[in-house]
Amino acid sequence: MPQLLPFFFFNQIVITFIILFSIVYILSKYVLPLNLLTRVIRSYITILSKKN
Amino acid sequence: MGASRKLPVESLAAAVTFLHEFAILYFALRTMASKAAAVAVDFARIYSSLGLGKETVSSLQAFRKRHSDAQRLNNTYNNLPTTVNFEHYRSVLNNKAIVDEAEKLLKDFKPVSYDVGAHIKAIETFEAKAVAKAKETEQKIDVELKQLQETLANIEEARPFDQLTVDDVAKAHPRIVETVETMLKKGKWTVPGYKEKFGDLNLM
Repeated sequence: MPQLLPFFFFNQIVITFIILFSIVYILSKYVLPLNLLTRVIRSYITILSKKN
Repeated sequence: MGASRKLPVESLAAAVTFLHEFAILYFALRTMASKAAAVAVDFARIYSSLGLGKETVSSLQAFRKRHSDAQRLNNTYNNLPTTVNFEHYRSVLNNKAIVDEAEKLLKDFKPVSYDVGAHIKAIETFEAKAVAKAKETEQKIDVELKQLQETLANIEEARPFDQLTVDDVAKAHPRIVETVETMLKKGKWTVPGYKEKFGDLNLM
């Protein structure tokens, strides 16, 4: 049944979306906020060390 | 975020040194005084072995000099003669009557006696007050010394600047974490001025 051929790729599509969303979630929730915190703190302690 | 706050480490160390010396001197003198009040204070030991600062030693020497001067003056005046040789004047002077009169005057002279009890009492109460105050000060100094030592130990044990971690700073300044959270809520993912100061790894 050739009309059913696209549905054979359904598992790949599902897996791809799962991986994509989990990457976005992990990055936005854990990795990038820590990155931002590091940058803010780096700027802050640089200001401190220059003033003293 | 308290960026301009400066730790007065040097003045703190100086204060600790001063209090330390003061405490050493105080306890040394107190021990000596309590052991035997009549025995002279061993100043050579105080100068050499207690590790006092220059200023302390010089002021101590000045105090000692004042004391020895006063003692010397007291000895000089104590050794002066207190009697008058009237026979000598009788043999020298022709006018014996005036010598007799002078002798009579001197014999009749009585120093006016003052009641010094009140003064002594006042001095004693003052002394008691001073001693109580000194004890109070000693306790205060002990507490202060302890606090200063703690602060100094805190400063000495603090990690050097280049070994700080993000967690340390975040713990010390929770406001930074709050700021980052609000930045994230507003969708701000960059720190203004960061790229100019530290650059980035972008190739394009």
